[in-house]
Amino acid sequence: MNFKRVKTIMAYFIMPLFFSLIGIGIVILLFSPFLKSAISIGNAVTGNVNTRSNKVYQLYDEELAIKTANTIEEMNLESIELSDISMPTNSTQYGKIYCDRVGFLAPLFFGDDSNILRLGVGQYIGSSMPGFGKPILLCGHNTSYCLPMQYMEVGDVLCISTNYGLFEYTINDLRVLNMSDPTAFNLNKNEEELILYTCYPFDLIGAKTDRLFIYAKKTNGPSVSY
Amino acid sequence: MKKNTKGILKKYIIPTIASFVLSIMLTALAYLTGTFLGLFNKDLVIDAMNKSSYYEEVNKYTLEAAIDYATPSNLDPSIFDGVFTLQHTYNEGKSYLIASLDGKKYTIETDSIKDSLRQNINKYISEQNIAADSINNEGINIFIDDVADMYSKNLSVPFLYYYNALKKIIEQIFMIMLPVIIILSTICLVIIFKSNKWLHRNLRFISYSCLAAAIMTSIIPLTLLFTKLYAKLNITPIYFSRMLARYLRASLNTYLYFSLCFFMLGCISIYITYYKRKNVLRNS
Repeated sequence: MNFKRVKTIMAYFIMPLFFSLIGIGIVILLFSPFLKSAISIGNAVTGNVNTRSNKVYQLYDEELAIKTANTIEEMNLESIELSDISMPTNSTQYGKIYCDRVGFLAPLFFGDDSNILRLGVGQYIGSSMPGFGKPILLCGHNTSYCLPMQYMEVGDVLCISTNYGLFEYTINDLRVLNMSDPTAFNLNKNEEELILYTCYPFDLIGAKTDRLFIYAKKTNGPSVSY
Repeated sequence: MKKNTKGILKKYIIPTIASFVLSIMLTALAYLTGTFLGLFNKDLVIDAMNKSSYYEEVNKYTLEAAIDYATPSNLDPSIFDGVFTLQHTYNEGKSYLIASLDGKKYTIETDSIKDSLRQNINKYISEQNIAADSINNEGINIFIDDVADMYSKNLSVPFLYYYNALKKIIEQIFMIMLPVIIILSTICLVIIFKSNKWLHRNLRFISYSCLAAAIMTSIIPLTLLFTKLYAKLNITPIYFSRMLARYLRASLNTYLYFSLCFFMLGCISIYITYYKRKNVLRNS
């Protein structure tokens, strides 16, 4: 096979590749102002698809919670550092909430989707966490974990146990309001208030438009410095 | 020397440039036609819905959501027995899909769902001997309407609205670009065939164009198919994401078919070049 023949055959590989590289180069050059935006949009709409949307995570460690609560009490600590706290992500159990007098006990999750409400009490992620000095909005189903709420009264103590401390809230008000009542709560207050709500009435068959809101002020527990 | 430069320009450089432009035109034609025949092909959407067990998943997803909704309403999950049937979901889903793809409006029928649910709730109330003062009839009506809305929302495919809007835009682009591509391609072909007196030399440039178009047409679809980016869309519910992934994969294959056509055209062109050259050498 002579050199000219080899050159002709190689041209069938080199020329199309050369054209392709030039063509792709021109396209990249023309679209380079939009390339960064396109890559950002691409990264935003693609990623690891959560094939098991019912997955929940466990952050709460009861032994650690008891140990921390005892340490805080013994050392009389009034505040803890934010860096000492592992912040939960969505669908993570980070504590438990209970009221001994009425037998109310539920796992406490970060997030409040339907999957979480099947498993316990959920925290609205737009509200604060215990110790941060801002309102905490929690909810649960009236037919399961929040059934004992119907027996709660002013003066009862709601406790939230977390890995970073034990927090106590004393109930100061109970109100039945429409679910879309804008005066039900204010999450912008600079005061730590626990707001726990559930559907009302408890034993009625059918969709419920009213909610039982329980308001409790913090009476014990450390503050988080941040 | 000047005659030699002029000769090289006429025989090689000008047809090379024309060949490159032709390859770009062929690639543009492939992407436009592939988008039209692949991405906006109704049959691919219908096929993706059928093969991704979309209708079964809609039923399952709706049932789970409805049970969650029933929990605070003091209603047992058994009230949903026989309410969401696969036959009804398939019939309504397919009718909705075909109507939407044709740009028509279709309202998903939910009366049978409501009737079935109402019957089951009444049966549950009588079996449990629930007192009349524990029954909120208005609340039950709201519950039934909400469940029917949930079903209708889950069954309808929101992306079809954007699908039809985008299809109109692509159709307009296609109508404008197609004549431009044809005219430019014709000009390139004329330039190539006028550049050399020997047919086999001209066909070489055509084969370069076809092979380059085959490479450029296949790069994006192959990248997406290998990286499986089309299957990683962050879209919920998951059954919709799966259906979309299946549909996108089938659409990407359309571009690969065009790439294969160009490759075969290139190979045929190479064969004819070889055959013609052999004839010329035999006769000279």
